[in-house]
Amino acid sequence: MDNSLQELERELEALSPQAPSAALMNRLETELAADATAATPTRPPVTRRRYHTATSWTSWKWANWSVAAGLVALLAVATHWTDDSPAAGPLPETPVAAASTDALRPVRAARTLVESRPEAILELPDGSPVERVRDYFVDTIEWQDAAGEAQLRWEVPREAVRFVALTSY
Amino acid sequence: MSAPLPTASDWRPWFETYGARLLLVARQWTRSGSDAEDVVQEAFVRFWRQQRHLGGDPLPLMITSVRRAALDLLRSRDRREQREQAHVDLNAELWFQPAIEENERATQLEEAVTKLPSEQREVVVLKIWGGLTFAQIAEQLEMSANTAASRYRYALTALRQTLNPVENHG
Repeated sequence: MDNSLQELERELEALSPQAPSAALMNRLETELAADATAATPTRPPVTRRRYHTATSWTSWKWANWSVAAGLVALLAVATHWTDDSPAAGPLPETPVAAASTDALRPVRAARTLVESRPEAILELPDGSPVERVRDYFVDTIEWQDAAGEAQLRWEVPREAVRFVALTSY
Repeated sequence: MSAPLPTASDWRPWFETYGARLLLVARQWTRSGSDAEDVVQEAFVRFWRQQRHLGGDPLPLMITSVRRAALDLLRSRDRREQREQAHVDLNAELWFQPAIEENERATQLEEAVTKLPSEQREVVVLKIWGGLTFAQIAEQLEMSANTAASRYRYALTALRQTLNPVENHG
């Protein structure tokens, strides 16, 4: 490139592009201020969890398990009494627990993803950006007796949080 | 030891460094100054949230984001409307800061830049104010580096001819 073109380049470099407007700065301020307030604990604090699932020992949802177990035991005992009452003989040697597993057996277990909700962009300790995504599931378990005459269906909502690495493009 | 990560309140100095350049770059692919500001806002917020930790020179990354946002915006608009507006808006706004002192040469130069063919002008803007190499420009505009360099040279020659018509004919 000859000297006159190089001189022209220098003249161009001396031109200053128009600065961003105050309105744009305000819009950025507003948008990024929201990020600052939502900022980035690298690990979600356990004490501030919004949702409790059956994976927490303090969750009320353990009551569902208790109710389900109770129902299973009741059904098993009821079936047992119905079968044995005409004979009025001694109790069979099979323990009640074993009888209950004979009476109702799990026949189906399913997990259905209901919704995935992106929540925030976070920074890992190594500085890499990740997106926190909360998945909402419904877990379904079904029990059935051998004859197919008794059925128990149990559904419970469940949540899982996962972190998705963000890469540049 | 690596430099500390910028905190969420640090965006202003970053944007004061790059914002004006990004706006000029965005202006090459948008129909108006307000569209350019929308595009830069989207690109910068995306960069700030997701890419500022990646290291290296941030400007090429941001220019990629600006171009992508600008193309998205153009696609979202009606094509007929684009044809009508693109010509009208080209010279309607200031692209550069007014000189503090009266500088006729600078004014002529600004005007000449805005009147360059768009395919030459975008290369000049990316090279001079975007700070990109010809290889990076070629990647942005999906052309060969030789083509980018040729367009740049044609553009400078055309600018020189506009500013010094007598010298170039002599």
